[in-house]
Amino acid sequence: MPALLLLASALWLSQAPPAAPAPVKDSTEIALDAAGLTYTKLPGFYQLPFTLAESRRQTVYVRRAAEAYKSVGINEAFAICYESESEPTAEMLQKTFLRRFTIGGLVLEAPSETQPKWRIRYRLEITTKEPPARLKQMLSIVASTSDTLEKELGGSAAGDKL
Amino acid sequence: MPAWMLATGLAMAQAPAPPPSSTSSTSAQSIATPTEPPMKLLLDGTTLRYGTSSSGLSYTVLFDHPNNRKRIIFIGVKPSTIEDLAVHTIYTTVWTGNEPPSQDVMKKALLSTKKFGFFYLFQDAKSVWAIRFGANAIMGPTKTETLRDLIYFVNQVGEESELALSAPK
Repeated sequence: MPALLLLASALWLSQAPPAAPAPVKDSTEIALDAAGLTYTKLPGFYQLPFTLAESRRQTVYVRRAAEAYKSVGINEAFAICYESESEPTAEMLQKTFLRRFTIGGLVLEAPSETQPKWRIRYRLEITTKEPPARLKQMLSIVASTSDTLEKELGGSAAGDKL
Repeated sequence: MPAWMLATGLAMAQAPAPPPSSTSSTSAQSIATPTEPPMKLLLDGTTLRYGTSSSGLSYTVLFDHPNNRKRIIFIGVKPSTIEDLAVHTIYTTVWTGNEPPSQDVMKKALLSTKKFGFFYLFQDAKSVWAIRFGANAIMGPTKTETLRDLIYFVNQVGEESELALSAPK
């Protein structure tokens, strides 16, 4: 009798609909989850809100597609620290790009089909195997450094838009 | 254990074996010891030939390129620190001038985003202006192979960028 029950159970199980496949997470998403960070998935990016001192907010973006060069694998993390409709002057570029950072650096971005403004981004690279605590620490550095730069550079960087 | 100590351990494992006791003291000084900086130990593991800049602030790796071109890659001897991260900058110069770079030159360099790394301006004590390309090596995650590849990447981008910036419009 128990054998019959087992057989019946096995038959029933074999006829059950297959479970829906779990969404596949990449290593960055797994690390963001493990770090307890809140994020939104955008096409090509993870968007993370950071609340800083004086109730200031910064949005950090992590590029979902990793970049690779031989053994080096990284995900770019950045925040927008300057945004303007007009092209930065030579003096502004000079003053801004003379800055040096303990980690990371600046990238100039021209208007394009996807966004209409001149931008300066503070960027650093996070290795693809970074442990969650380090990932969180580095993204916090992006947020706070970018916020400091935004205050110094002026412009209209909302920091909340791609 | 701090991450940099792990890196140190890795590099030490790849350092050459200690010389026999009859080796002269001069040779013995070039052998990696636990008191040497972690970056030196990592560099020793890359098998790249390197020296030290005249200021003593950087290790230098010299690359040969076509048309007898040479490129020096600088690696900071001492790391900068932020929180518990120890970061070495690896850089090369892609443009120099006695005057600041023009807006066109700056834009050409600063808009050429690479897979990783960053361009920045520099003015030395003699008021010579430079555009540099650099990348970070964070002690801990950066292993010997990664460091070597970062150095090669900076060399490659540096050479391409210098040629692009010197090309006529």
